Amino acid sequence: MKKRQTRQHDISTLAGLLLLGVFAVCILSVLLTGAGAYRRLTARNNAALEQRSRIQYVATRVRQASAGVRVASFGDGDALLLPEDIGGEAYLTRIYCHDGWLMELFSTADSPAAPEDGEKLIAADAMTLETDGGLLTLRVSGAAGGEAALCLLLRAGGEVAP
Amino acid sequence: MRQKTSLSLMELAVMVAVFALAAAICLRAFVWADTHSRRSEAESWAANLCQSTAEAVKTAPGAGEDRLSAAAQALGVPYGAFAQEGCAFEGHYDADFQPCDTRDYSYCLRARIVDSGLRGLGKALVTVTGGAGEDTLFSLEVCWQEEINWGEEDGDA
Repeated sequence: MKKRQTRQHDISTLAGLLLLGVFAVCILSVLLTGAGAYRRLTARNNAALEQRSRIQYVATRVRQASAGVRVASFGDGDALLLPEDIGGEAYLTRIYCHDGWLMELFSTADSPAAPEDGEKLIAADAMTLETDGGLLTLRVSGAAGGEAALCLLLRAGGEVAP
Repeated sequence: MRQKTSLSLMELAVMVAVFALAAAICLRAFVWADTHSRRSEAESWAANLCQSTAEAVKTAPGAGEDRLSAAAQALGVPYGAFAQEGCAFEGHYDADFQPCDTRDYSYCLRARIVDSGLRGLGKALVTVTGGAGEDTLFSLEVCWQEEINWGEEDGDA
């Protein structure tokens, strides 16, 4: 009688432990699923934000340029040139991609400038610019490989420099 | 002693049931968050695409359908092809918003002329749809000034 009671007790304990194990595994799997979902969301949101920031930064600079926009090659890629006249002196803002970054360089128009002199803005792999009539098409690709394109109407006129 | 063991088992079983319910709610929340994030990303790309199209329409020469035709050419989208009724052009894009074949598209860009209600003011509606239900992700209206031939209108009068 006592032996049977002991066996029943063992089975109950084992069932209890098994249930506890299932419970622990379920908790762990839900936690891992949650962590994975959060990681994916964050990565996707960051990538979208970076892509949007890259494109919209250049778009805003083009729209702000009251003295026209030029496209020329600078360093190892295309550059957007935004001329300005400050106090009778000609200045030039160059926006270009160099060494994995979207960079901006502000200097006098005639000063010699190298791509590495610019200021780093946002991580970007490459930028291509095309002008067709009054339409500027810019394509910026990020480190993740995605390429975003935006067409912009050049209100103040634009040209392609040699 | 036996009663106590049975009670412990029951307690554990109830605990697992409550946990299962909570886990189901959590998983649903994860799926909802993922869907919402994907849609948010798609809306961002769609806004970009609509903006590009609007700028191309504003830059294009001509009036009405001619202007949309020129804009479609600038964007590299086939004008008039595969278009629904009343739609000037349709562009197809894959899940990464890159131009793709018409059969395997995830998102669709459409543009059509709409009545502005004002003489000399052209208007087009640019829409990007996508997802399982072909939901409208983003749409915007673009207007431009068209030439009015006053002499011709005076002659008609």
